[in-house]
Amino acid sequence: MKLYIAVGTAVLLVMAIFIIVFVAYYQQKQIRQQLILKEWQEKYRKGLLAATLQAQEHERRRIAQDLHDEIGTMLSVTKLSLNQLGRTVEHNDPGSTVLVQKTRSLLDETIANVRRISRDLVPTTLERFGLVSALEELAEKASNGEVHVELSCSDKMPTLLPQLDLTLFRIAQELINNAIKHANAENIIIDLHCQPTGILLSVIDDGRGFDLDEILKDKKRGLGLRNIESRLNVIDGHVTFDVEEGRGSRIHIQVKNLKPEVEVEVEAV
Amino acid sequence: MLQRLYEIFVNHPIDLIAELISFLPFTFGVSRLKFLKKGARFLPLYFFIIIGRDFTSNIYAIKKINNLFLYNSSAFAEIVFVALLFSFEIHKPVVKRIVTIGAAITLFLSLFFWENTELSAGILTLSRAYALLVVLVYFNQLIQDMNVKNILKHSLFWISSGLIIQFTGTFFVYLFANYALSSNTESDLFNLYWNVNQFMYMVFCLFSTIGFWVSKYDKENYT
Repeated sequence: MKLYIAVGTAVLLVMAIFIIVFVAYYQQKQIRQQLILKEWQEKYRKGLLAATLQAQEHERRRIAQDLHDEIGTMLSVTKLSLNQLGRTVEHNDPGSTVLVQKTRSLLDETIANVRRISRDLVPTTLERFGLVSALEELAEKASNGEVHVELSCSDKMPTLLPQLDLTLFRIAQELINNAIKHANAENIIIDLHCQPTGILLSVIDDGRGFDLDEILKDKKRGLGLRNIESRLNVIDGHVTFDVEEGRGSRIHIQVKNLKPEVEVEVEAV
Repeated sequence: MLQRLYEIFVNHPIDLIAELISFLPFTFGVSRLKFLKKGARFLPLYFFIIIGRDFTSNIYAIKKINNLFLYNSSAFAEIVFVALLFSFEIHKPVVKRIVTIGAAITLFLSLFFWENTELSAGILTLSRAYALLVVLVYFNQLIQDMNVKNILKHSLFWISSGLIIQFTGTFFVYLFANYALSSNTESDLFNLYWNVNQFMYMVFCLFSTIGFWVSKYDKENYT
């Protein structure tokens, strides 16, 4: 009997320990696999998002090029023809001169608009002179009699990856656009600083603010804000909204500087 | 009286350790009560009952009164607490119902095996068989759900492991309690089996203490 009890107990104990080890091992293994799968899905999602943004940029570039090379050229040629027509009409039919001049000024306006749209679609300054110059240009363009946009940045800014440059520029563009269009801001400050942890871009305005939760809840609204989050998601960036209805907004973007290279001296504005 | 108690503990030191070790899970359980899940909150109460049983059992031993019925009655408490512990953790309503009805049936059947002066093989075996089945059902749910990130930081895994080790380690001893733990058993043999029982209980206490300790991670440990 003693032997039976001993053997029975030993067998049951071994089985119990085996079950415990099996449960722990199997569970951990499965969870690890699930986590790997989730990581892959997240990576895939980011890749897809990056590809979408890249395709969007390519498409913008193509449209800008078509506008500039084809429509722009056609409009210039049309203007030349109109000038010739104007000279002829001036001698034969002086009454139509006003009409020709009106058409010429409309044509000039159209050419200027096409150029502006083409430039807005592709930030050439960004590609040629970097983020600080592009933001300076953006601030200058956005400023008018009613709105004052100011850029403040570190004296020494490192050269960033082109993808990072473009992301920060597009985000600044979106935030300034929102501040002017929706918040009726009069003063906007773009703050660009290099920190040991990365690059910090802040857009501060004195507009009427907004309720972030309400905007994010509504799928039809807040597309720009969601777009900012998507762009940042691709480069592991982070956005903080310090916003409230009735007061100005402070939106801070933080990104890791993936490839710090040469430091460029920048004159602070 | 104290002299008698001293003699008992000198002759049975493992009993003293087992009785003292009950304070460990009880203390940890109470201190971690706010982190514990619904079912596990009953466990410190179980250890409190065990401490009370051991205290009463010592007084009976000093007065040389048979105290074995206390161990039979604590088996009833075991069934109730295992049912409470797991019925809150098992999600499937059917399985939950089986656990509850199973506890009621086990309690009812155990009544037929009641003994006043001997350890009841029937009650103790039934309570162990029931608890083993419930723990296995819970382990099965853990494997099926796969919702625990780190099993080693899951309180109920440690508590269940402690239970399964204690109950498998003492199952055969209690199954043959009429031979191994009866009043007619030789003193040495009785002590051997009783010490095995106490040792397994100590393992359960240590595992439960670890379970209570890691309960603070439970909230964030789910996927």
